[in-house]
Amino acid sequence: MSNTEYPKEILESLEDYNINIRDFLPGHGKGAKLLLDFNKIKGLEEIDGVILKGKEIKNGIIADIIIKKGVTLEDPIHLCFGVNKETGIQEIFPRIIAEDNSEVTIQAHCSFPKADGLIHKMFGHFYIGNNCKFNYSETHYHGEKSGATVAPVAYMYIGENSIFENNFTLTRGTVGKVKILIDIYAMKDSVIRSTIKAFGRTKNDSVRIRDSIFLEGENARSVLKMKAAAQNGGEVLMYGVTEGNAPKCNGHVECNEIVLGRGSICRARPYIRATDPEASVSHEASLGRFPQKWLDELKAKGLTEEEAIQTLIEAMLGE
Amino acid sequence: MKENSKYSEYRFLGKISTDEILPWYDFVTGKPWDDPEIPWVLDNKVRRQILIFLSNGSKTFEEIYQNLNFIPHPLLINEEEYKTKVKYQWTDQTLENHLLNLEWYNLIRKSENKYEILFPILGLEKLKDLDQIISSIAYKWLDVLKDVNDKIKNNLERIKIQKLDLSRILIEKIVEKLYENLKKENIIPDIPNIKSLWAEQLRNVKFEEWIKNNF
Amino acid sequence: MEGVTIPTYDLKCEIVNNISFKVREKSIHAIIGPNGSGKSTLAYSIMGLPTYKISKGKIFFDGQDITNLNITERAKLGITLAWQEPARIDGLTVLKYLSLGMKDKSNIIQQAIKALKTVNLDPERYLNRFIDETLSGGERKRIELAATIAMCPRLIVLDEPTAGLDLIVIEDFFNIFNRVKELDMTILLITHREDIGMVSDYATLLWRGDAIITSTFPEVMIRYCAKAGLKEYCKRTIFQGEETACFDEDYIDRIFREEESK
Repeated sequence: MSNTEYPKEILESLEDYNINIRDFLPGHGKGAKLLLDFNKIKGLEEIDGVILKGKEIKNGIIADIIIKKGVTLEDPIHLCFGVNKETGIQEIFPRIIAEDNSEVTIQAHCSFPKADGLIHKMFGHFYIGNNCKFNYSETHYHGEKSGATVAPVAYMYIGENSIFENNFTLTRGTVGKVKILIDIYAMKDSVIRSTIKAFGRTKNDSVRIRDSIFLEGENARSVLKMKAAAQNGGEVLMYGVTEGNAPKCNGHVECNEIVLGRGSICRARPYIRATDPEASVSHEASLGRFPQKWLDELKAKGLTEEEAIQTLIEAMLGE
Repeated sequence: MKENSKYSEYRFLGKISTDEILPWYDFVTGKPWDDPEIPWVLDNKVRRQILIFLSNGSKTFEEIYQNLNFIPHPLLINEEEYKTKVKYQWTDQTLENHLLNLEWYNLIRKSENKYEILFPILGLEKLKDLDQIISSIAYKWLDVLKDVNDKIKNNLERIKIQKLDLSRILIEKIVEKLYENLKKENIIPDIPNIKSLWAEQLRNVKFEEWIKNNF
Repeated sequence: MEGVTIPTYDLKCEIVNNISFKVREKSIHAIIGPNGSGKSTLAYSIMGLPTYKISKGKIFFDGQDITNLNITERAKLGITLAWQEPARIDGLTVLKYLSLGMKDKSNIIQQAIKALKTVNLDPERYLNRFIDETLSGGERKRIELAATIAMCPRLIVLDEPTAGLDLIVIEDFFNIFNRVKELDMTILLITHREDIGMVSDYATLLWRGDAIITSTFPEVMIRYCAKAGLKEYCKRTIFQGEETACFDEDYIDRIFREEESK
């Protein structure tokens, strides 16, 4: 399948994230792939060890992705859920099951380059078995008009002794209205690393993210990092919840938000709770501006204040 | 009388007035800012599942433990095509923590060796019938409130409140007050808001049914 | 510096008072003195930090009055500062950090490799690392020094470059200083360690905010010891180097007597 069969506008935004577009196209590389344009499957490629089944529905897709027991995938699975229209409602229902002892990376991209009144909803379930290594990265692009309303909800269950890494990035283009809910349940000896980065660039951008990690198994560990910047009147609200419900579990929540320009609003609500006397949960949050010392250090290298701030934003949000 | 110290100049010397209205805490209604309507207890799906399980009758610890596991299934792929082999089981230590937490919030109680729920969770089979009753009564009350709305607007014109439209806020306040009074009169129970549980079950079942019916 | 006075931020008292000295081009000039004498204050005011504004006097750089220039403007003239406790910034790689001040952006990697080698860091291991908590104190300070070198500045102000480092690392720093000397840069070295100050050609002694003397390092060192009342230490330190052979014990005794009579 060539680039012309899948709208190039949807894939172009991958370059902003330094991700190779070709990796997503069936026929290139070795990984499994699924490409969706609104409610049409435009590309699907399965490989040994992966069952990938998609069903088009009126406004989107239902998809099952199963990684079989013991399978180690050298190449990532690529998923692209895009809409190349200005308006409409897209609904995605993915269910991902990674069976015991599997190793997989999933690179997902959601792109709405022309969004101007578009609604995207996702209701996803991730079930990771025992002794797995599961890496999930999701990048988003919502166009330049702040015209997208995006509401993904994901429930994730991480099995014993598994390592789960979750990266969500929305730092290119405008945001629109985004409300994200992620609930992660961590079983015994599992390790969770979840990083959320968002940049609300205009006064019509509102980012509200709630990422909850429930440590349900003994010795489960988690680090949740939420980093955001709000500029030109944008709004960011981050809820980072970590709950320690089992002995010797250890969780940490970190919220860092930068306010740029008047009228921008940043709020962070790190919630930590423990119901087990041997649980250990901690949080830190910082909002506002970068430490003056950091700015002075960069200015001593010849940067102006604006250049120094831009450099630090890029470092923080990994742009 | 406090001794003088190097911090003496920082002491407030004015008069502290407690008659002023403090916007962040309403002493009159006594609504605490630290107790949200839906307690954080219900954030955790495991605790919600325990409550739903107990809604079928009181259960022993072992019975709850046996129930606190699940095997996820794909949405489209049926068992003949592929049977998934992932299973999650919660341990007794974690279960004990959850039960103690629910007990503390008076959502459940341990009686002899069984746990029982302290508020009703209705079975979903009754939902459609109840939906009809709820809707019809609510529509009747809506008519009442529509009348009230006109009265409010007339009163506001008479009092000559500034141009901001207070009537909609007042309607909401009236509903809030009504809700409070219903609890005081014991017409509705004065316990944490359990509407979220109903919604949780409802969304779950409706979603599964929709998949079944369409695929 | 001409008649420079720097008050505290609230203007209640003066940290340094009426300081004047000259730094010769392509030399290493040390500012020495005990803790609290105003050394770091001087370093930050040279760099132009707003909280260390001069209330009296002027600073000249290469004949140009830079008293009212901000940090960025001074950096563009060729002045830079290697901080005593450089920041650790999550997400910023060593390569990116080194490249920030480079004038020629066309061969960033080559310049970065050269700067890292000057400070004895293996470029392969460090170029793509982040300048975050995973770096040790010594590594972070070396990267800071490499970043200043990569700018090819005309004046580097080194603020306590060896603070918090162990002896082995400090020994390494002597080697690094010698290499930096060969790059024909002017170095203003802020230190309270006399052994570190010995690499310098000239020095200025600060004592409670006042500049006592500016001269060759051994001369300044004698005066420092005299003010501190450390005669034996002075004699031990001064006669270590060949270049101090012109000083004899009588001279040292005379300087000590002068101080005692004040």
